[in-house]
Amino acid sequence: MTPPDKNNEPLDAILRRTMRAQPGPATPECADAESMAAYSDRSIAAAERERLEAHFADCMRCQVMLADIARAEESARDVTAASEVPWYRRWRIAIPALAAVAAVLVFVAIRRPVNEAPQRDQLAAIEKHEVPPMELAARAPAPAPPAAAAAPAPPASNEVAMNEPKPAAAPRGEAMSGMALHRMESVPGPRAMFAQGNESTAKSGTIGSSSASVAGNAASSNAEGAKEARVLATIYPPDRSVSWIVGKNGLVQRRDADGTTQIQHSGVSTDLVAGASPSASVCWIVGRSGTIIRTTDGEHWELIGAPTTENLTAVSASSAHDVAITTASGQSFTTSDGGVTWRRQ
Amino acid sequence: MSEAPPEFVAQYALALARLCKRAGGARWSVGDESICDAAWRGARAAGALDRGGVEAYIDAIHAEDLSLAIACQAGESAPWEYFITSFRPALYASARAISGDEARGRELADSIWAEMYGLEVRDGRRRSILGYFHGRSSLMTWMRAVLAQRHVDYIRSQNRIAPLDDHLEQAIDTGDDRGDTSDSERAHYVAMLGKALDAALNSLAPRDRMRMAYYYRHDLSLKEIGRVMDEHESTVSRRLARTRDQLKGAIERMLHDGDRLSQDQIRLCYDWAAGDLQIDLSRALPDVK
Repeated sequence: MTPPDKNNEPLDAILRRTMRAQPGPATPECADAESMAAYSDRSIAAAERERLEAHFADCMRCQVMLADIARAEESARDVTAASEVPWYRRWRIAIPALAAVAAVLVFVAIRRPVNEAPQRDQLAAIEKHEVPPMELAARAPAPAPPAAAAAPAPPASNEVAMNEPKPAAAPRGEAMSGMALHRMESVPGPRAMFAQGNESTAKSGTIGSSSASVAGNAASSNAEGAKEARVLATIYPPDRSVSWIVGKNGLVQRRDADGTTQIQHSGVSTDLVAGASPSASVCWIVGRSGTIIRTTDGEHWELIGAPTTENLTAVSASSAHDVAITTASGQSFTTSDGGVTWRRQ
Repeated sequence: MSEAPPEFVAQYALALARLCKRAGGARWSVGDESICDAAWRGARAAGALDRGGVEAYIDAIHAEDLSLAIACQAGESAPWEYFITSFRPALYASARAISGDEARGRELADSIWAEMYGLEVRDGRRRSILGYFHGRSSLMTWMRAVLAQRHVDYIRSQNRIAPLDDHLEQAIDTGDDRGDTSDSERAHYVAMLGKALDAALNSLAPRDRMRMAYYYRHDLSLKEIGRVMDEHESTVSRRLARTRDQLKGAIERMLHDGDRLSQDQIRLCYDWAAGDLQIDLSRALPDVK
């Protein structure tokens, strides 16, 4: 049944055209902000809801407030829904984007390509579980083991021991099916986690008894003394129910146990080289230029303030709060408050 | 010193223990005593202490939001930083949606933000409106309710409401002194319709009256009405149509049976009320505030 048309029938027009009575002053019967919010959230008992509705039915002031709350909530939902729509489904972006892509393809077809798109290389490398050609060319002479089976390099201070066994290498050539692009909510700033109730399996709490599996490796140092980290790393929590693959330009890809994959929005563009995941919902990742990112729900990433701008090469974590990081020069820092404060080791 | 009476803490110890566990107060260094005090204040404000259902009330508290609010009220920097990054963008977006205007929305949000931070200091303590949050709803919904409250006060301060009787007198006296009967006759018919409409509206169930008000008076969409009423859009649509037909039937019965109007006269009532005269029918309805 369609709703009444506000403008067709005379009664509808009368109901619509009655001039809006202005809200009056608050009366003792009017709901306070907390009651109104509880009503909106359906957090009140049935008896109280009926009592409030008997008042709301005739109180312009309360009706205006409830209407405003509903508008604000719908507005927030619309923004969230819009941000979850993949970019290629937004025609306002897709059409110009397609035109730009077509122009680039024509350009590329004419000229010999000089540089491949790093992301395409990354994804191809992920699919093949191989090191990207650029990295092969840039690496030191000593061959490196496959990324998925890399063992963590102990930090110089070596108070942080990686006790977990090396993760088993994924079979070569394994197809990454269903790689879906999801545009995650952008992280507006440090510690911008809105999610509540993030659970992290707290371990014994001692840094050094990390339950995480780290797959980062350090190559030999270059002329400046900085150790260059391996680009690709695969990170597993203890139950191996999920894994994260990280790489150049802030690449983070999550893979669930059923094989579904998801590129996640890391919020950074620096190369990510190592990670530690004490549980399926908590993961720490470090990278170049002091980059540290963390998720506590397995999906949304936040940038954590680092104690250094050096390239980071290793991380171990026993929870969402207790973490140790290692720089390319061998320095180690620890935190027990999720990165709010750091101590040099 | 704890605000909550010892007998309250003892009687609802299990529920309070569950609440403290859910709150995760350790994250923000909020003690169990503070959480229990807030639960007691909230139960008292909600009337649960008198009406019963305290345990259910405690179990329904949005514990983590409460813990955060308590920590922010105490002025701790870590929770306040988290609060800023997590809630501030949504607060400003809500203010824009409520006020319908970017500048006004920012002004509204700024004022709420300042009040939550607590610019007023009394007895050496900052007074924050976060002290009025007891976790009965989510923190975000509570902030939206506070925004809505401020906004409606702003609307009232910006608008002058014409006295009730002036509209009707103006309508009745629209004719000149030479005695233009058609205008006074129109006003008479319109007044009859207004009276019938008033009676018909009052006979509706409260939820039906709310639904009609949101649709016709507040211009909410079906989705928004569903959000307020906790109904599906299609349910809102169906019930609006049913209520409208109910209203129409009741009005016409009253005009026909009570005022002895013919169908043609009834039609005239509608046409005149809907067309020419800018009568504020809502002001003609005695129960409308």
